[in-house]
Amino acid sequence: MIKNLPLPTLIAILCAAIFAIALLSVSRGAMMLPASQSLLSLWDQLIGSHYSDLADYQHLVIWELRLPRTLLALMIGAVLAQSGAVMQGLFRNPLADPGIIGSSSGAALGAALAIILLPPSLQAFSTPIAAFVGALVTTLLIFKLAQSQQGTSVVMLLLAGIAVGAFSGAAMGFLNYIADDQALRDLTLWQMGSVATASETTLWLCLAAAVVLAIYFQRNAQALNAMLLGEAEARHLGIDVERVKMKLIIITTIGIGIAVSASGIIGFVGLVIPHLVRMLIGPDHRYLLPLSALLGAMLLLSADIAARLLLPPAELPVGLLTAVLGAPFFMVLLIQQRKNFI
Amino acid sequence: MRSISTLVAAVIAGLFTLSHNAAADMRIISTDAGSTDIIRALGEADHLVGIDVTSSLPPQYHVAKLGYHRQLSAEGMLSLTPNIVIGSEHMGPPSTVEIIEKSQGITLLQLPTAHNPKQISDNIHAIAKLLGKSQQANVLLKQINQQSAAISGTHIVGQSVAFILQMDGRSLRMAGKHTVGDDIIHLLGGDNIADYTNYQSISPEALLALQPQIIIVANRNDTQSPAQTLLSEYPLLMHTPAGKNNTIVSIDSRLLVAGMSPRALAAVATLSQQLDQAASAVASQ
Repeated sequence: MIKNLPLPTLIAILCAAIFAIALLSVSRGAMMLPASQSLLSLWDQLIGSHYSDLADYQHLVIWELRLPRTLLALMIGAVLAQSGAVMQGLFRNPLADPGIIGSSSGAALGAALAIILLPPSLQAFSTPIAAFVGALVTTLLIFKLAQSQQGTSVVMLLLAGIAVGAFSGAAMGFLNYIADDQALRDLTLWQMGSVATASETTLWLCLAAAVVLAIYFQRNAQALNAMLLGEAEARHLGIDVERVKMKLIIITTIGIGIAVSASGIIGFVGLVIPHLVRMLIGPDHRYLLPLSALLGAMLLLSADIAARLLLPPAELPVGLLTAVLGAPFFMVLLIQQRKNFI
Repeated sequence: MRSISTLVAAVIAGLFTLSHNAAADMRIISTDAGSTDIIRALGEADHLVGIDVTSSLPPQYHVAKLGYHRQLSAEGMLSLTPNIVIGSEHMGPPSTVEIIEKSQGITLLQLPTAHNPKQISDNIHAIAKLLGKSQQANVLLKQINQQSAAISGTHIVGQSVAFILQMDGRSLRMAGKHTVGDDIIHLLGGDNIADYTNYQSISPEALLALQPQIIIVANRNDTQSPAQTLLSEYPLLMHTPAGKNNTIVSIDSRLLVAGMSPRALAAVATLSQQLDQAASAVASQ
């Protein structure tokens, strides 16, 4: 039944769901505030009125704490899910996710260098920048390794990803060994991912990333569809496979780099969401990409709400929840795919 | 005349009740283990509504846990409706600290980490002033001064000391600079044998080669003393000068989680006594 719904209707339904969950996210949290007051407070801030009865510090909680993290969760969920869909299409592999091109391990290594080697006072600036640079450098390195005169081999990309991942793991192990207790704890928490700290610059940057990625990926949706048939077939259909691969990988890496620098490492979103969407509407990338973005946004926001409400007044890192939910799904996927790997 | 004095008496009584109520209404969040220790020593642990994960309180206190003190959730802290937040200079992230500072009705006190008795006393002064517990503070400060005087009288000046952390019963971590172990060694008047910063793993062979004259061992084992655990695991260390002079002394590592705190200082005072006893035993041989 869902398959027969036209794309605009599906998008409308998901957008409505996202709006509802966003309102939920703004009105629920560790602090008990009446939902109507929270929403009125939001309205007040937007249009400068004074309908809400909340105290100043409660306004602060809504406007400076809950709203930014809601927006950040939506944008990062969209970026991660779409990047996962694109990676799975490019590699023609259902187990691919944004981390597979080395961006996660590179970002983690960059963050480790920043947290362990630089003084803690610089951490607020240095960690995101280092994570971004790490993701970029690692992915470009892997890409260069996989490129040859015949083109970019997908198998080489995967293997180079494993090799570079092993190297960065060793480097991180060494950094962990020389780190002091505080740096170690900071790094561990960073690696679990969190959408809690969102400055204005970060939000604008993530919005730009989400919009640019969405537009760019959608324009290449037909190319991705063609590549599903195989690279030779895609070439015969007139797609410039090399250029498409290169551009998609670079744009994805920049998007993932920005996401990781804003929120740490949030795993399984890029892996699981495209599969859920494919179960609903099939593998056509023209539908898969926008719906992955919307579903990714929705699920990451829901995970963040859960992260805030499960253990008040402490907060769980959101990456922990996505892993706990995503790992069993991943196993089910593997079991289903077993027959393809014999 | 009489009615005025009655009125004045009533007003003063009223003010006392108000201040007593105000004191009873104190809701304190402590995000630093050392500050929690001081609050507990001042007898105000009942007013704690939230502590971070590094603070420890006896099991009868059921206080909400806020998580790691460098990754605090502002909303979580505000949801406990505190009126006092006490933390260290490391409290974070900066956005959370900013929000706590901006909130009206919450007094934020950030104290530097203490490394010696003087700094502990300064922190006690600051916290007592904020909580209005200057009387209890004086008792505590006297205790700290006594312990500090006893410790500085330890006769180990110039001797080489190794501070070893043996948390899982096997691996040895020696304390370098910028650690609680180093602070303890300096308080006792010894020289830290390690010349690096933070804790680093050391093998028993390397420790033996360094020939420390005193070894302070810390672990969290309740069944036997840390010194006994060390020697039963590595009998080799009996051949160090510390082993021969019987100056391998123990301290409970759980008391040191908060850095230099009143409880840690009391433990160091005990150490100082043990070392003096060992020194006089050697001298009398």
